[in-house]
Amino acid sequence: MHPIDWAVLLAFMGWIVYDGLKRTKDSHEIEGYFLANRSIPWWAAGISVMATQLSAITMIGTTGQGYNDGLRFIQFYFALPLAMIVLSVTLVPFFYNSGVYTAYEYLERRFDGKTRSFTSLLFLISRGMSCGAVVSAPAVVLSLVLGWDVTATALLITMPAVVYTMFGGVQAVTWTDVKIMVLIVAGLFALIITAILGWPSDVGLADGLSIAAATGRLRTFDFSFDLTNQYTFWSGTIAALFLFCSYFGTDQSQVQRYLTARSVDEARRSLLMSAYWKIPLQVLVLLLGVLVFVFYVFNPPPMLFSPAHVERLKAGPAAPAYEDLQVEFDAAFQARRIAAAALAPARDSGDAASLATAKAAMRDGEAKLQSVRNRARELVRSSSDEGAFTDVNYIIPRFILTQLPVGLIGLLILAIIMAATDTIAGELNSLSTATVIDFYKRRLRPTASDAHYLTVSKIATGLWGLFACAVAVWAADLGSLIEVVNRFGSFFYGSILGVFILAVAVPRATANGAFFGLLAGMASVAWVAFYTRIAFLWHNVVGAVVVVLVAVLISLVDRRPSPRQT
Amino acid sequence: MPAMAASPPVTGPVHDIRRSYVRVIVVWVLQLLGLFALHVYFS
Repeated sequence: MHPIDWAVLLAFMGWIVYDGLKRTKDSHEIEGYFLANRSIPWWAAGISVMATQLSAITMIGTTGQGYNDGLRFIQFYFALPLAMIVLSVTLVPFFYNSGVYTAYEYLERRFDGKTRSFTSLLFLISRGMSCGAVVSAPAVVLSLVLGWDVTATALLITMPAVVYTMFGGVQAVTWTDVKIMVLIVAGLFALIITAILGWPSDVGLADGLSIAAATGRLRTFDFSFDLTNQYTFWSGTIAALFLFCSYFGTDQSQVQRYLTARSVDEARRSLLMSAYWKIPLQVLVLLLGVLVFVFYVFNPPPMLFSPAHVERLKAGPAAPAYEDLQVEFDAAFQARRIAAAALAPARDSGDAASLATAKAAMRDGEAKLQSVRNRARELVRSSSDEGAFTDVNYIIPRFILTQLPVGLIGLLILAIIMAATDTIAGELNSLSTATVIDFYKRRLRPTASDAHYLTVSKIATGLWGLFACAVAVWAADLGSLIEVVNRFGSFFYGSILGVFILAVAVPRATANGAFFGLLAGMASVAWVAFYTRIAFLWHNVVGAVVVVLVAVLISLVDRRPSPRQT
Repeated sequence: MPAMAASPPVTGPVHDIRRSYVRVIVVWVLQLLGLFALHVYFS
């Protein structure tokens, strides 16, 4: 990167961290540190909820997915607004009015201590692991694209989060989230404008979208009911409803965001903000990938977007095979460009037959080019130990580095880094809260002073930050980064949601029923994951349903009342 | 038959939040319709 980009990156990063800490008030008490004394306005809590989800994985992985597959991933988010309404009616008032710090604390009041500790432990494991995946995405990609050291990059992402989360608590996290969200959205628009400006002058927006549509990239709906397919209308509206209810309703990293709101209604409004804006925001992210695809229809793209892998291929024994593929790729690119250029006149002519011919030529050109790209990726896999290599996460960073002006590059790289940083910050804060409230205070030191708990919370934040860094490198080897994060969650999410459904909606459920139901739910998810090809989104449904059924059956036998049943 | 007293209009925060839920559903349906229109128009 140019020194000006470095200056922009470091100056903005310093300002965001400094300003986040400056806005922190009364964080010397435990309620101020973890819940901001319930003083955060609903819109800031709402932006914080959205920013925590919008990680660097979204910035580089989802945009890359838009480039490769188009808009169909948006189906994943179809149920989100419904989940927000369900939670606003059910769990949000329960949590807010009971004055808890963690969602799991509520389970002890309704069931018993072991159910609370176990669900909190599951949260610590799954969120701690996903924290590593969230760091690894930008760390691995930026280190390979920019030639940075992976560990140093992971530290550059994690350290700002550790600093302002340790010293500023949830208030610093929230106010930093607001600024980072503005930076990310501005960055997305800057990239979209850059992509469109790079099209030939006679190609308008409708022409560009037609080119994308001819390759199937604007196909948003898949109504096939296929349990093995990750992204269909049905998995997005039924299975994802369970995932989102669990994620926003029982995951401390989300619950803690809206517990900081001024009232229960403001907590609800902060959640409803995501209901309005999440789908448009994700469309924007995916559309960026689609528009960059159109950019590379008219401008020569690299055959592989990861420069480090290309260099390795060129320096090794696979160099002649790579050069042959490059020649084939250049010819396929020219053929596709000519087919794309013929599409707009065919549309304008109004002749259905010539339009169909032009679309078929475009599809054919795209298929040939993708075939060469697939063989190039296979070449990387066969000539290295990276059996799961894909360059999907390198597309947008490469576009930023080669197409944006100096200064803006620094700002966009910062947006990717800070997207990870704010997600990590929210997660570190919630991990620290669950560690201290659900374990340290509950099990080890129930009667210490606020100052003592505050010190322990800061130490816990730092240790979880180190843990995230350590997991980051390991997680990078597990395949598609988006799915890594969701897979970690899917093993527990549905089952934990089942326990909360029991707590709120099944008055006869007993503590033993809930606890053993939870174990049965997790076992069933593990079985489904290892022995069937059912897509991971449906694991949430399996987990929740099994927990409720098993718990109800056990509760019929186990007549001992839970604390709240008496 | 005695005239039935008209029930008072429901107002206040609860009514406001219920209206918010209805707005969310309306916006959600419009978003899905918009995406479906995009899907159909360009296919």
